[in-house]
Parts: sequence; C-alpha cells; structure tokens
Amino acid sequence: MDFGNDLDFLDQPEFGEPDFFTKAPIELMGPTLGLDIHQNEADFEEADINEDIGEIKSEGFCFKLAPDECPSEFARSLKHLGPKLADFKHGTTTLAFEYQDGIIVAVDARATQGAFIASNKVRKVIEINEYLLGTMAGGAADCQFWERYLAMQCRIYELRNSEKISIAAASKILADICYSYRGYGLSMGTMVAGSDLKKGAQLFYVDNDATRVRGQLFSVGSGSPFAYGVLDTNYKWDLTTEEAIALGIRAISSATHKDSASGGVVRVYHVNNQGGWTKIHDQLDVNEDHYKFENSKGLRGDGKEGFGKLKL
Amino acid sequence: MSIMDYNGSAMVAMKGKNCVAIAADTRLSQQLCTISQNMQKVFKVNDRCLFGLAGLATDVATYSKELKMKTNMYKLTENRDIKASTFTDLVATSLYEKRFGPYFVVPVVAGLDDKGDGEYEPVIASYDYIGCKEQSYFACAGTSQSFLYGVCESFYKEDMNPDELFEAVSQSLLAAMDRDSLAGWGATVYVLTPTEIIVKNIKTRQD
Amino acid sequence: MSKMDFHAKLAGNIFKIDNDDTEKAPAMERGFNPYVTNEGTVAAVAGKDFCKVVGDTRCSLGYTILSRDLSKITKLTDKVVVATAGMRADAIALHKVLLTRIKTYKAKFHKYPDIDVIARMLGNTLYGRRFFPYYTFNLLCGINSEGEGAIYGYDAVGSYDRVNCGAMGSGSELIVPILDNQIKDHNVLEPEAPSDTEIVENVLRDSMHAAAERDIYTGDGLEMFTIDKDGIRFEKEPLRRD
Repeated sequence: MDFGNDLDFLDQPEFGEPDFFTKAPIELMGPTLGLDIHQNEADFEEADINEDIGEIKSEGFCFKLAPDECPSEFARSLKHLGPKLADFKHGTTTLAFEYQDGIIVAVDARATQGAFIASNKVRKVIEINEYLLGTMAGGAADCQFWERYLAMQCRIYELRNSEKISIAAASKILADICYSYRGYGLSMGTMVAGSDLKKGAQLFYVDNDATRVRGQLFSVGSGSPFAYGVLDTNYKWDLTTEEAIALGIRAISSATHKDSASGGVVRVYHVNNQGGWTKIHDQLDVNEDHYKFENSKGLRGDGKEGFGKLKL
Repeated sequence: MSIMDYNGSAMVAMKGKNCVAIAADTRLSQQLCTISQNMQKVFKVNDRCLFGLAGLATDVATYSKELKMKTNMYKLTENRDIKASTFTDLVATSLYEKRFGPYFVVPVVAGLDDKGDGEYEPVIASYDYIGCKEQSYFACAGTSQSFLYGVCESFYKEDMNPDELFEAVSQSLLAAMDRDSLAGWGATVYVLTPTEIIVKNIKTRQD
Repeated sequence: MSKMDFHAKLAGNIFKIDNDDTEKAPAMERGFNPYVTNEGTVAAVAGKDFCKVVGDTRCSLGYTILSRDLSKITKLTDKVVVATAGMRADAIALHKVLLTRIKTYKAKFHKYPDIDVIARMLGNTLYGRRFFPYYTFNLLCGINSEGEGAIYGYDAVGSYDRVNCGAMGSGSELIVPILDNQIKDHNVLEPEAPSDTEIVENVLRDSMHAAAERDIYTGDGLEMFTIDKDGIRFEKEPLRRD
C-alpha cells in the first residue's frame, strides 16, 4: 500500500473500508499534522523562522507571518491593531497545590473581553491525557492549542519509548515551545499537574516567558492575590483529600467574590499519587457556595447587614 | 480604561402606566476589585421623583449633594415640591454649568407628573455627562449600558402596571449585570406609584 | 535576513515585551495595519434536535454602508453552517479555506465531516494564523452525529467551546443578555429549556430587531437558517434600513 503523492489510492477497490485506513500511512490521514517531522530528538527545538518568506515552520506546523518589516512586533502588537482581535482573557483565578495525597487543581470559569463577560462556563482545566492536567490563564487559544499538541507529543513519546513520559519532561516540552516563540506575543500562564508511578504527583508552573518552576503551591491570574490569601492561611501538607478539596473551592470562591474578572463555576480535579487524576466537581456554582459559606458564619451573604440604616 | 468605567455601575429606568421604576446595582469597585456592596446610587428628590447617578463614585457623592441643595433651595423659594419634568431640566442645566470641568456622572431621572383626575404622566430622562437631555420610554446608564439597551428593547412593553414593571426592570437589570464584570453584587429596585415608593432589594450573584 | 540577524533582533525586542494592558497603544506609530472592521451581528441557538442561526446582511466601513445585502452565513455541509462577524475580506477567505478542506476530506474519506471534526479543523485553521490572525468571530452551527443541535463559538485566534446559544459581532453585547434570560433561563426560579422551534425563532428574531434598533452596524436584512434532520432551510426578511 504505497500511495506516493498521487491520488491513485482513490481508485482502489478497498478504499473507504474501515480496514483500509488502519493500514494507511499516517501522513495520508493527516498531512497537515506532519507527524514525520521529528525523526530524532535533535531537531526538536529547531524552529525554522523565515521572516523573508513570512512563515514560521516548527513542530510540524507552519504559521503564517504578516508581510511587515518586523512580523514579531506585528504579532506582539495585535491587541492594538483591531478591537477584540487579541483581547486576551487575562481575568481568571486558577490554583493548584501539592499535599500528602496528591494535587488539587481548582479553577474558576469566567472569560472576559474588556468588561464584557464572554462566558461563565469556560473549561480552564485542559485534560491533556489520563495522567496530565494543564490549567489555562492568559490567551485561551494559546493554552488550548499547545496543550493539545503536548498531548500528541506525550503519546508519541509513549509509542517510541514504550513508557509514559515523566511530568518533568512533559512540562519541559511546553516550556520549550514557549521559548521558541519568545517575542511573538504568546500569552499563557499554565500549571502542569500530573502523576507518574516513579515520582508520584508533581506540579510545574510554565509561562510564556518559558519560565518553568516545580513548586508546591501556585495560583495564577488576576484573582490570585485573593486565592493566595486563603490558601496560605489554611494550607498544610497533611490535609486530607476532603479538606484539600474544600480549601480549593474556598480559595476560588473568595477570589471570585472580590475579583470581578473571575466567577461562574468552580471546577475541581484531584491528581493522585498513583498515576492518574479524577474530576471531583465539574461545575459548582460559586454564587451558591458564597451564600452557603457566609450563612454558616451567620451573615446574610449579600453584605447588606446595615442596609436598613440607609436613607433614600 | 475610561474614567467613566473606573467604578462600575448598572442603572435602568422604565415607564409604566401611572408608575415608573428605577433600578441600580449596589457595587462600589475600583476597576476589578470590589470595595463595597452597599453603595447608594439612587436618591430621592421628593415623593414624585427619584434620580440615579452612574459613573465616577466620588462625583456621584458630590453631585447628588449638589442636586439636593438645589432642590431644597427651590422648595424654600417656591414653597412647593419641584415637579419631575422641571427637575429633569434642572439636572440638565446644572450639568452644563460645569461644561468645561464636568462631573463624570450620567444621571437618570424617573418621576411622575400630576395631570389631575388621578392620572399621572410618567417622566423618564437620561443625559450625557454635560447635560444633553433625552426623554424616552426607558433609560440606561453605567458600564452595563449596552447590555441594558438590548434587554430593554426586548422586554419593554407599553402600559405596564407596577408589578409587571418591577418584573421587567429587575429581569433587565439582572440579565445585563450578569454579563458585566464591573457591576452587580446586589441590586435595588424602586417602583414609584402615585401612592407609594416600593423599594426592593434583589438577591444577585456575588461573583 | 540571516537567522543570526533575526535572533539578534529578536533578543533586542524581548526586553520591550510588555503584557501590561495599560500600556499605551502604539497603533499610531505602526505603519502596517491590514485590519478593518465591517461588523454586523450573528446569533444562534441550539435546540434538542435543531439549530437556528440568524445574521444581518449589512456590511459597513466606519459610518458608510458598503452593502445592504451581503450574507454572513455560509453552508459548509448538509448539516453545518458557519456564521462569521468581523472583517468581511478575512471571512470570505476563511470560508473558502473551510470549503476546500471539507472537499479534500470528502475526497479522502468518502463522507462529509461531522460538526465536531469541522470544529477542530476551524480551530486549527484559525490558530495557524496566530501571528497574523483572521479578523473574524465565528459561530459554527449544525447538528452533530447524534442529531442534537450543536454550536461552537470561537475567538479570533481559534480558542473554541461548545455552547447552546451565542452571539458574535457588534450587536452581541445587546443580544447575549436576552439569550441568557430567554434561552438559558438565568434568574428564573423554574428554568425550562425551550424545545419549541417557534419560541426560539421568535427570541432570535426579536433580539436581532433589538440589535438593529440600537447598533448602527446591524440592519438591512435578516437571514435565518434552520438546520434539522430534514436539512437546511433558509428564510430572509427585512430589518430596519436606517
């Protein structure tokens, strides 16, 4: 079944049968993905940036560049070129922390464009594969696309080496991508949380400057100062999983209350030490959680305790 | 970010039959950070007229006091309450007084003019911040203005009674506030009828 | 330019990177800005077994109306349409790319792609222009392989998510709160998802009229596409022309 580059295979009688495709070469299935680029690990970081032709070829992708004197400056200044063009969704609160029984990842779900709430149901935890999670802050498209690509790379690693990729290596792939596109205005602040059988659960922070840090407790986004406040007060290594989940929810709810660019629902994931993760809460309304928490303290929840005194 | 968006607000007023309603959120914020959930944005002129101020919070406080002073002076010299339609002109002129050093507020006035025989003419007026008056069926102001215009166009109908008016105004305000990150955290609806002013606090989202 | 030169230039630029939104816009200094906005509004609602899409037909440039009858919605397959607000030139180019890639898929696999496949493809097509984006805001609408109505909403550089209703373009700020209230039943004590096509159609029509009333870039004509198991139906009616 060697097809070459012509379309003769269309005439073959078995074309269209399910069996046909399982045997078809991979570049025929998805030539645009270009899986054949990485013949060896050495060309992995080689991004061929050719500004004269106006494209970046790297990782098997071809990104078109603007026909401008300095395309990288063009790409960086996108947000000034057209309204809403690259109005990146900076407003967010995401957090993750390691504790004795794994990692808790908790995020809000609001996407804002300026003051406009574009959505209250965004998925900011990207399920990369069955043992890796990535969070999303900054440019939604950047995070979604490159973490999807990371999933692909992790699978290829597994096929090549017959073992799962380590969390450190997976987060390094993402950091390398950020490094090769430095100066082009990528915007991502992500936490890679995952679990392998050798080292258990591990947490890395990766951002668009290609910073990559291993740590115990991170919070990213405009609501992070508020989340850090709650987290640092109540965090300890020996939390039980129930306590850790409650702490994650509490920190996100508090942040969404004070920070107007965060809100919607909380989504909570637990990464265990046995090489996997589970989704704990798919969508927990922060509003209901806020009222429940304030009522448990004997408050009304709407902050209107002294409203009776107000005169018209 | 413009100075008008420094402290967020959502404000809407609507006409009914023999009644008007005005509603506003109660949030005070500094850009993205909430400071208070109890800010008063709607003020009473007299039993037939209310006004709300959206915009920069410090100017809201000052300008509401200035209007209070002017209406008190009116009452002392004329010995009667100011009519709602007269008050709408007073707001326009006092904003224009500050033409070259304006208050960064957008007022919304809602009132009832007595026509006799138990009939009242509802008055709704909105302005820009240097006093260009516009009278309409409904008025919207604040950072949520564009969202409010959309829902009000859709939810407004003629000759609503006070209950329908309350429902229309509060649904408009809630729908708009839920899409505006700068407004929310509680809302108050004031329905003005010939006999009473109905004030209701609405439970809203707190995120 | 050699690769070395480029990297030297890049290193020089890196120190100027500033992600701060409050940074003053250098828009005036930049010579090359290919982007204009022709605006207009599209909106869509997905029901249990159908999907309705509306769009206006005005194409404007600043305060000038360039055309009163330019469609924003393109049929991609018998089950999927794409509705695009934003810059017309980019939208036309993008729709052509999509149609070509769908034709290629058909040639390869002897079937038309499902909406989730097209959704991923559109996302990747948009992200392929990450550094020189299409200035378009898309709603991909249709019915999926299970026969359910499905809508995918995008930003300009290809982040996407499945939603059950959405609006894009200059009138989206006016329409979205109406859909929240009428379709998603926000702030309603007993939510009841609308399954009736007539209710959905009326909400969409009403919200487009509201947008035409208050948004100067929306108006002239209203196109409504209905996608269900019987295929795609198309209706057109006037909107205000001032």
